[in-house]
Amino acid sequence: MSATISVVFKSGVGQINAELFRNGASAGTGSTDATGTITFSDVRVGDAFSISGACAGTAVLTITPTTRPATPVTFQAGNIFGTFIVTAI
Amino acid sequence: MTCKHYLLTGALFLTAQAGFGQAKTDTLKPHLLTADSLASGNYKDVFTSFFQLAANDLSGPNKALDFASNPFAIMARGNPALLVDTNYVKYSRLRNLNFNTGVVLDSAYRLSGFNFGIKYAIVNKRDVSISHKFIGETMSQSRELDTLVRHLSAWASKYALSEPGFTDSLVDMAFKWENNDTFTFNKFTSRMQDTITAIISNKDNHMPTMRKLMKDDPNLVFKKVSDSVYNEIKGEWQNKPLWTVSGNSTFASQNAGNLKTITASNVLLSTEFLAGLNAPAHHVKWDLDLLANYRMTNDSTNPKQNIQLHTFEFQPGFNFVLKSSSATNGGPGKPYLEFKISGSYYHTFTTLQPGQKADSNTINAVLRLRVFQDIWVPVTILYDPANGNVFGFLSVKANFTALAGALKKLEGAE
Repeated sequence: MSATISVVFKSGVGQINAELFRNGASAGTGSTDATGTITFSDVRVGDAFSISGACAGTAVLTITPTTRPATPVTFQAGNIFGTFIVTAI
Repeated sequence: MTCKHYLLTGALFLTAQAGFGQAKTDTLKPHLLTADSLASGNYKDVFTSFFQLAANDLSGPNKALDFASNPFAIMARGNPALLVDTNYVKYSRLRNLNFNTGVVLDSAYRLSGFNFGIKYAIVNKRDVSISHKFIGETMSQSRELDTLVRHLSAWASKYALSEPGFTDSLVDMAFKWENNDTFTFNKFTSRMQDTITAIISNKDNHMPTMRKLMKDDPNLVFKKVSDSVYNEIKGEWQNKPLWTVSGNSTFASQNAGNLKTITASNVLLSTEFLAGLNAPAHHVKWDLDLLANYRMTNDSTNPKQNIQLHTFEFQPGFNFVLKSSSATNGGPGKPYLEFKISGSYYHTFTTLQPGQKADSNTINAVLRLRVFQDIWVPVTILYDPANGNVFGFLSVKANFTALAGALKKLEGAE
């Protein structure tokens, strides 16, 4: 099952890096330095996304499928950090 | 009562309280976008604000109400999609353009003229909002925090299926720790604390700074560490150069209230350069401020309206941020008391009157106090050492609906 991580930066530029972890090991990475989407083609329940980045304005992050914590989440100007576990496909 | 009404009421109150002597008000009227405000934390409010309303020269015979904005702000108001980064970057040149317009009132608050002007930032290295380099620096300096989040994610993926309850709670609370500046480490359960501490303590994970921070403060707030990195780098960028050019023109009537006689009374061409001189986190932050003006004003000895009196002014100065609010998230705090000291050299190009000197000087001081979140009250004092004259000017400047605030309102309206 594929998963998408979408980010919308407003009032300034930003960047996020995403890394997919499975059973404690890295299973893929992706990055975007503008509003857009990162796609992971093989994602399973129990996988975890590590998100890091920064934005100069705001950033709205949306992950599909469902994760914990739930998205979308909005980040204000500053660093962007989060761990998101895939809870359903 | 609207915000504008409050401002006007406040302006009238301050007018009644002020008793500064007045002279040369048309030629020395403060600029709407003042150098000292740009040099400080107020710079961002002013230069990237949607709007500024200024009540200038409140105690003088020629009071002015000025409104400033920029074309991008107006456009974004009608089309919030312009705030999305891909559009936002495209319009960076437009965001460096400010325009202002206003009305001039006489001492009886009768309309006696109006003014307008534009200002363009030729060099604006302080605008972090369009800089990928700034974002890169921030992420580079936050590497240990990134490492911790990655290890936490790896740990969560390992136990998500075997211990779903604990893992879900851990990532929920970790997200709060990472994004809430009041969430202290001791709010985790002891097992969660042990899990995170084990990650940080593992020397193979290369987090020496985090180890030290956790040792120094067992109730460390991740978000505060994260913000301190961001704010420190952002503060360093506020030391970068800013160079603007502007043109302003005032039109006034010979008889107040009779706008049929209105003519140009003052044309001002300016250029200004700012650069920070010490680290933003320093106790007293100071900036270099260089201003050059070329004024074309009415000759008071000539009864016919004209702008034939031409003067040049060079004003080098320093702006000091004397007091700032305590920076809870690292980096420089928000200034609320500033002092600018400068000297002005004037040269008159046109024909001099008997006894008039072509060259003169003044010593200038501006004390700026932030009375509310976005309202500043600058008090300007000019001293003419040759004649011993002292002039004072009182203004109120309100920056409202800053870009971030406007964005929230726009999003709320969607």
